[in-house]
Amino acid sequence: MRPTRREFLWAMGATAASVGLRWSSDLVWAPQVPDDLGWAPGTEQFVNSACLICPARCGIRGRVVDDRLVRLGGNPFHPMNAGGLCPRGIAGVQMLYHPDRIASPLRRVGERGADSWEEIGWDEALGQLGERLQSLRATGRPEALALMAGYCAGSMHDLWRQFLRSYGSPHYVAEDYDDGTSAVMELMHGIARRPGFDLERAGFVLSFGSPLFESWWSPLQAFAAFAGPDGSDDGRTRFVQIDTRFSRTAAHANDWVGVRPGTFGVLALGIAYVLIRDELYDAGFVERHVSGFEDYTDREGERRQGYRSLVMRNYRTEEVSALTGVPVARITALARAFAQAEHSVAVFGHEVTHAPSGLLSGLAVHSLNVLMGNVGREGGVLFGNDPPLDPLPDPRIDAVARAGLERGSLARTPAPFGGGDPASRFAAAVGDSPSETIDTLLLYYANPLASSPRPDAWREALERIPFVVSFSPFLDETTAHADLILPDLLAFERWQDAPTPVSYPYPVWGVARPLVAPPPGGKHAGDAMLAVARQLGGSVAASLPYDNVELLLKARARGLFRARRGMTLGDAFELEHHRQMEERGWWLPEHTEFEAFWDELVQRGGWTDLFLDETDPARLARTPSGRVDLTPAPLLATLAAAGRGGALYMDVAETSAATTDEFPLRLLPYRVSTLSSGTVALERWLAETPGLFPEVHWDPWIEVAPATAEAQKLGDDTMVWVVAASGRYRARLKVFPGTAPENVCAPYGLRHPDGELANPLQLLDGSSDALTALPNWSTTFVRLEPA
Amino acid sequence: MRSRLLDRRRLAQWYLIGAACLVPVLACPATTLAAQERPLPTQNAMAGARVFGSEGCVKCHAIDGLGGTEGPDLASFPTSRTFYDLAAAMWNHLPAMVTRMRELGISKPHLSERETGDLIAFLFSLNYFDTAGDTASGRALFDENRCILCHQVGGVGGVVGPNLSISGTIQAPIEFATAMWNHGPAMSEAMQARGVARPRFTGSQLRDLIAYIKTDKEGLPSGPLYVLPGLAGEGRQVFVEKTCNNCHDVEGLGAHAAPDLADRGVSGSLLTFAAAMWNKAPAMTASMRAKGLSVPSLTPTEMADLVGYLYSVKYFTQSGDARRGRQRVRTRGCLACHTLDGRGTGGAGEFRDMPRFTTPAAITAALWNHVLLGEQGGTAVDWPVLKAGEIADLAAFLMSLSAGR
Repeated sequence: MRPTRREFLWAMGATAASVGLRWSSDLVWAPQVPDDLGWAPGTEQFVNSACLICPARCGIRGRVVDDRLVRLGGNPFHPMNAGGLCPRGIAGVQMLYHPDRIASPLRRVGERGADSWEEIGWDEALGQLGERLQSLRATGRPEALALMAGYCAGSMHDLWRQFLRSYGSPHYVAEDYDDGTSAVMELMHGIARRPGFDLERAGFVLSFGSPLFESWWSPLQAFAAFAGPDGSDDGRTRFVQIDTRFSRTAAHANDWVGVRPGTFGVLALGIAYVLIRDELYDAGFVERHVSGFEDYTDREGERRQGYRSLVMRNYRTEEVSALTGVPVARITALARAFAQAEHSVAVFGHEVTHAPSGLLSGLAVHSLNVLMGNVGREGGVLFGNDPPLDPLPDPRIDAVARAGLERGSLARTPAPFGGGDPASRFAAAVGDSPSETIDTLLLYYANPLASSPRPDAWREALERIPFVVSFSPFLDETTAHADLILPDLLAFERWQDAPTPVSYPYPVWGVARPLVAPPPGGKHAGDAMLAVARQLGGSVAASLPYDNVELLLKARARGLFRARRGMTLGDAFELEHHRQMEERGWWLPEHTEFEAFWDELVQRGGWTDLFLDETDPARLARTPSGRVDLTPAPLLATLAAAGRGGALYMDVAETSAATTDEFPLRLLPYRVSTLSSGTVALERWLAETPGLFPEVHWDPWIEVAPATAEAQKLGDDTMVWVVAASGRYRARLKVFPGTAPENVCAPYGLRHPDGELANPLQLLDGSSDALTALPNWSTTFVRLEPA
Repeated sequence: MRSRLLDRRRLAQWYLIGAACLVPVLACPATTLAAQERPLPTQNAMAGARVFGSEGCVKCHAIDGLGGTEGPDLASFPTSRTFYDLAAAMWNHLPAMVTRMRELGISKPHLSERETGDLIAFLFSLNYFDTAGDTASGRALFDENRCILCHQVGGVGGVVGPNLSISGTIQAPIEFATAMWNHGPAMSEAMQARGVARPRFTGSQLRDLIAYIKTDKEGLPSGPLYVLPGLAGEGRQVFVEKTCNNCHDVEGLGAHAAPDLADRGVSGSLLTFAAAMWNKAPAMTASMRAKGLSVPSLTPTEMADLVGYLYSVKYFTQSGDARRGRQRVRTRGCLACHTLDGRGTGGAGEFRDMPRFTTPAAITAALWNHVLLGEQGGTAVDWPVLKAGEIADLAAFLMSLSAGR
């Protein structure tokens, strides 16, 4: 059969169209051969390190693909966080790739705060700083150098201290989150150390406002302690949260007990009343190890009331109920539960001590642990050891340095039992001084214009300081006022040690190592200061004989190698097996050569020693009498000298100004779980973290009781001004029945999407506990206005 | 002293109960060594603890109650724990373990030669370290044995002997054991003078007594008092230097007037050994005096080394024989799966073509990593139950095949 002309043309056209389509489709989507693009599957590594974002210093494990960090999780070898990680840590990846990150030194070229900079090299930048510091020492003014540091426990803290001491500056101003608990322990136990809480082995945890699952020292410690092996509630530990608001922590607890602000101490003594009345306390422990329980005659021959008399006469449950708002039956039930549990512990922190009688309230709460003998024993309060690191060499102090140090710190404490807020005092002293006191201020992970309750004082102080150097890798509020920026490497690019906070009673020396290479031109702030020390030469250089921070850490780890205790991090079985061996009196070495020990320590993420000799009497009391003192004489003497009577446990209720018509609501600031520093607030993703208010994202908020909102005619989600006598800020109002009608609960440290700060700490009335100088956080009253 | 310390550090790699096993080098007689290849010096008990956890043994087995309950607690393993005892236990229980692991959805860990050596060193060392004693029983012992007549605990008691509450020398078991040995003769005399019967310690009594004394530490300085496990090599030297070999024999090192300490099996804990020394002390003392020997005094380090040596002797007591091993291959069912010189069913391969095995740990790893018939669709056969000596023979045979290549 011969095709017709029409059929021939159809066939040719169809063929041409097919070929054309095929050709064109190749052009559009057919992939190239992968090899042509040089593409290949990535190389994946899991690297252990330590998180440096908040004080918890959890162990982390980074997933690194082709030398890029793509995910962060918890290091399962780390005994405190046991493989878990909080949103802050997880968001660390975003920080690493943050577009606003500063990677190389910047020098201000315009007016201060005008955001006008020029990029310079490290040699020039360090040269400028070194010459300035050289000049100050040459003119006999080493004390004109100051450092304002954020939380940096560990070797960076030691490096800075060593630098300043050998240089001759007494102005190391540190934000170390003083919560007054160290003063409580020193007075009662003679041990000036924050308490560790053995949550993991506790049978009953009574938390006095401590945000264990939010912004406590280590929320992961709490999560790990209360979780079973599969991550679920272990059902073993009963946990009661006493709090002024229904918090996320309260939501995790078995029970929540609402209490009036400033009455934690009163409630504790009400519980003590029941323990004594019903003879539920550990009488044997009190008899053997405690002084001041019964009435006694002091050294001057004066008869004094002991703890028992004071409590039984002044804290009957009916009276305590009236003050705290907690029903009598509830107080009794709490006392019985506390006494009946095998291992119970009362946990407290700044929520108790940041109050007008904060120190006395802290003593009252901790007295519960003492009454039950839950100190220095399993499931109670434990005083741990620091990791046995080799110390830095003794600083060389030459004549110039000695003269500078003798001039004293501008941040020196005005209180007998605490350091209060040294940063605000320093700023005020600089601002108030008639002459220029500080020439050069170094800012290390500190952003006081955003975080201080006294930003005005800081603004004034910065104006009076001629040369400000910031080590921040981000242009935060205070860095914007710097003259020179020497950006530190980010947490996943640098070497640093990461000791766990004292709340975890066992020493863990985590080591952060670079998970990824630093950016070209990047420099570790520690390495930069070691270079400046070499530039200064003489005693400063001799005091810091390290080429870089990595070698400094390695040198210090030799102490661990020699200590004949502890081990590099390991899985749960290894850790517990090793602990049991030490308990039996044996220590098993893993390595005979230091280099192999160090390599393994780095590879596993750190070192720990989980054995504490709980029978050691020195872990219980180091007072002159060797007993835990319920009525410490120095405190009694101070109170008597201040005209506050000669008895403790009497003045623990808050005595602040009452509400007024102008300011009818009490402001209660609190810290959210996503906040750790001004730097982390840059991570916008954290503003989307689900919380107790899943519908609140991006905007800072305040919590107000339904009745209060209705009375003020303010609806849910309304943007309002929170107005105090000292100022105001904007926030979104959330109606929340977990807030008492007379209170406004306000998270601090948050920002609006446009960067506007929303910091309730800046509204605080400036009052403080006279014994510790710690600020009062619950004595400020506000009103709400539509914004 | 310094050089000794340095030397100890260097040699610590070789200590038995906690690090490396140097037993075959120093403890085994030449005749045994000829047939008995030495394990890798990296057999490390601490690393073995890591293998135990990371390879999932802990999911089913516990050590002193720490771990799973599917299998037995390996710290209470009833039999002796020589290397080949443990290897045999691993082999013999393999089918049951694999079945249970499959039911639980646990994959069988593949062990390397090094991991196997470390794991066995760890399991071997478990008996050496005493668990914590019972303080209530200890207190009762203290009262019943009238220790209180001479010693104080908690501020109460006599002053003839040291106040045990403030004695920093008894914080570690090894210190206690040493003090009891060194002061044994004087204590005996004091007891005799006061008409107190010399106690004999059985079971966990000494452990309980120490636990009680440790509960009262008033006045002690704070800080750890940990003691390293002994070095077997140093202990062998102590055994000779302190003239223990004048009466005791350990694998040909000494006389036969007293029991051969290796034969008697010093496989119990340190405190078991200390209790035995205490119990036998009067007889030993009398015997030594009769021979004109003075009772040797020991330092805690020497005591640790000595006990470590005697404990370690048991590690490789079975001596393998290659010729017997060849017979075992034929008689113990290996040829149901393997072939040897062409004989056998051969599905699992010819012995002479196997990878080279140069250490017992490598062979034990191979035994553990065995693919079970039936696992991959084959026909299941009766699993041969092997004794420790048989494993030793097989090991000697397989290593001889490797040596010939």
